[in-house]
Amino acid sequence: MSKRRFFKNIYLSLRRIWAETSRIGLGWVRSPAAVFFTFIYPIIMILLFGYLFAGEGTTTLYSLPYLNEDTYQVGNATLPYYPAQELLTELGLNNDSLGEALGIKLIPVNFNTSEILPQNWMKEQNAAYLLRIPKGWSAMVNASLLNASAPKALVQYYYDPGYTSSTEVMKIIDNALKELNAQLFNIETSIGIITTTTPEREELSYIDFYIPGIIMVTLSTSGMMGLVSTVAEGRRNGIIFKMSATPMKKWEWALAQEIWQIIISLVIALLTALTGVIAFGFQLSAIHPLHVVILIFGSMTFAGLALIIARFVKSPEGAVAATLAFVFPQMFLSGSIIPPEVMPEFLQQIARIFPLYYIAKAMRAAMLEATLPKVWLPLGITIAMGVIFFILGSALTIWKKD
Amino acid sequence: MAPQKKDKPNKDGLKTSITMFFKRVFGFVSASFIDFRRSPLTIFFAIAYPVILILLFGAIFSEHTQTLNSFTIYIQAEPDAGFEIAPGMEINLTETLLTTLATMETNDSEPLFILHYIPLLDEHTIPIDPGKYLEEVDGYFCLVIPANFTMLVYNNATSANLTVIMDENSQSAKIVYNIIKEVIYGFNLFLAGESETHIDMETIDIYLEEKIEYLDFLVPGIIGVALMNNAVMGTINRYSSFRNAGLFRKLASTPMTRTELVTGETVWQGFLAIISTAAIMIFGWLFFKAPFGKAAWIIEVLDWKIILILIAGVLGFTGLGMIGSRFVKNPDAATAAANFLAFPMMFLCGAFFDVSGIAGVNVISKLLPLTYIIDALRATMITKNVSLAWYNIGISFAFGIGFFIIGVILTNIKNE
Repeated sequence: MSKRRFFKNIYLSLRRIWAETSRIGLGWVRSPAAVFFTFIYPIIMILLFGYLFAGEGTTTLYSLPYLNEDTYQVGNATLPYYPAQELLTELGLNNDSLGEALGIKLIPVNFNTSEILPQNWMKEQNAAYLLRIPKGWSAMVNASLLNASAPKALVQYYYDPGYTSSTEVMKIIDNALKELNAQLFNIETSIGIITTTTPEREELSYIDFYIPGIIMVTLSTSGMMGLVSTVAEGRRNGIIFKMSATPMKKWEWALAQEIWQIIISLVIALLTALTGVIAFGFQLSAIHPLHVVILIFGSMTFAGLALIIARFVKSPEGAVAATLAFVFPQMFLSGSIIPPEVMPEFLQQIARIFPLYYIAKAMRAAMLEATLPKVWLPLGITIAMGVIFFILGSALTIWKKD
Repeated sequence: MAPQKKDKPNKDGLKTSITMFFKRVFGFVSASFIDFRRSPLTIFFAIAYPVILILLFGAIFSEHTQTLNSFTIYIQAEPDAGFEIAPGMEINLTETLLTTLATMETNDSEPLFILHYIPLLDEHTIPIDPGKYLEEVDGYFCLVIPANFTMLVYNNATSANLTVIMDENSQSAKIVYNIIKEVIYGFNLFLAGESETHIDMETIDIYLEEKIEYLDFLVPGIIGVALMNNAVMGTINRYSSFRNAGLFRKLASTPMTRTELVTGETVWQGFLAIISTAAIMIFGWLFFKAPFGKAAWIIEVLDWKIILILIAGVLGFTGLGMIGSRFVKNPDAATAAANFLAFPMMFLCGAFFDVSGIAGVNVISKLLPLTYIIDALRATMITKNVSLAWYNIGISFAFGIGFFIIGVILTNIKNE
């Protein structure tokens, strides 16, 4: 092949890739609903995850019903303590700002425990938790003040295990009890703890670390599901089959799909980051130029994977189910939403098979100067995945009518 | 006699209309089923997706797989000469603290903390900043113990402080911090001459007798999510596909009405919902119940009201899918619209974790149909709270019928 012909082939290839990318883009632009939902989805995602998982812009306030059966205990002359009242004060009774700081709102309830058991009352009321200060509790505490070997004075915490917040509420009560214990029994804090954050993270908040992960979760879900559906649909209606009658090559078509996914990814990432800035004060300074590289190869990885999945599914339902079957475990195991270290060891190992695990790792490592040296391995894996999945996606694409 | 003669054709007409209605609905469902059956991979994924959901969340949250992992923490401890609290009786709190941390164990008898020591000086005898060191090794928690810590504790009127340097964005760091806090509380009690607290808390699981665990609450949540995803995403994608394939235009030239089409779609989604529900229950039982001596679980959770809830859910979510599909024309937009409807609901309705304490979110969750479907399933299958079940079933049907009617109104096959 002459040099001239070689360059002409490249030129024609680029033209075909450009034409296909433009076609996809035009189809997208001409569908207002596509534009709207493509943009609204990442905004919803960042707002949702920001509020739910990063705890930004919202306060967590658990409503804690309490049953104080110890109301007739008013202390005695020698020990004028009323510990039940003091415990409730520690938990923010009549002090909204303390309650908000603790994350708890006390709700007084009144029922007769000889007529209905607390657990049955909770089931009837569909209550998640209940703090019960039993009758005589203050007297027991006062007895302990006089006699160190007196039995422990116990309050009762009833909880519904279906509510994950029951552990949080339990911790709040436990801390209040410890505080009260120290106050009543003059337990000095001989050893204190001063907490500081690591130097480079001082200026950054939780959301700053969260947003890169959320961007990738959004791209992996919308990108993969969109492309799989589009290809499944294109095969069903024969558009892709018609491509085989054109000079376009499969790899050119696949590359055009990937380029479009990269363009949309960059737009989505920008939109997500800007929403993060407006809604949660996300610091754009946390963004490193390497994030763009990760984003490009990450999008290529998901687009390539989508082409591979699309090779095997024929119907739109199949496309949705197959993508969800991949996207869901990836989303939860990759460390973008749930930290991997809180999962069982075997799940942490399974997480490593998902591309998002490495992409999210690279995104996080690129955020800080101190962790930048650790970015190269996950970045290398991300780039390799982008290239390999593109090649596989192109190779496995078939242009025949179903 | 005359009115009887006049009524007869009407009755026959009505009977024929009803028969034809069911025949056409059946025809649509049969076509969907044949299409489904002819794609083995579609069948696989339709079953695999809910199974993956239950296995994934079961593995993350099940008490049988839950163990406290080991945590790697960094320690920078200055030398501690100890303190003689009585003649011949010396105490070294630094050593005691480090030994305590080193000997703590997980429920699998593995060390709870893997301790890494940060040297005080580097090779050029320059002091090492533990914060920077922690960042360089990508650690999340460092405990700094000051020089002659024991002496500080016993001699100082004010408290002697340990310094914790932690990545405040790390979940593990928070867990470790809480454990260390407990340990230090124990040390403070000991130093105050107390062996234990005088006031404490007794925790009571209200479903202890029924032996209900967190996974039991998760199963209805996952059924709800699978039901919603199948119906919303499936309907939007199918309708978008039908539109692109010109199927609506073709249907417009047949006697099939939009009510029949929508009913057919709902029945088909109902069929998929039953498959998903069965798959979730069977695999949840096989992996997380039967091996742990709870073979009867699958029978205990069965209740006829589940069928009612599934019907309400399918009506609502298929209706929602039809509403969504009305506004999208191409598969790309269909996916984005489906994600837009389904994803927020999945996280806002308490399917995986409860949102009752999150201000704002707890109000939004009450406006979403999935919340009531999940609550109805939990009350029916797990807590057996009949009044709560009926309350939620009622709301679910209100949502279901409402969305279904709107879906029928918005589906206009003639204009397609």
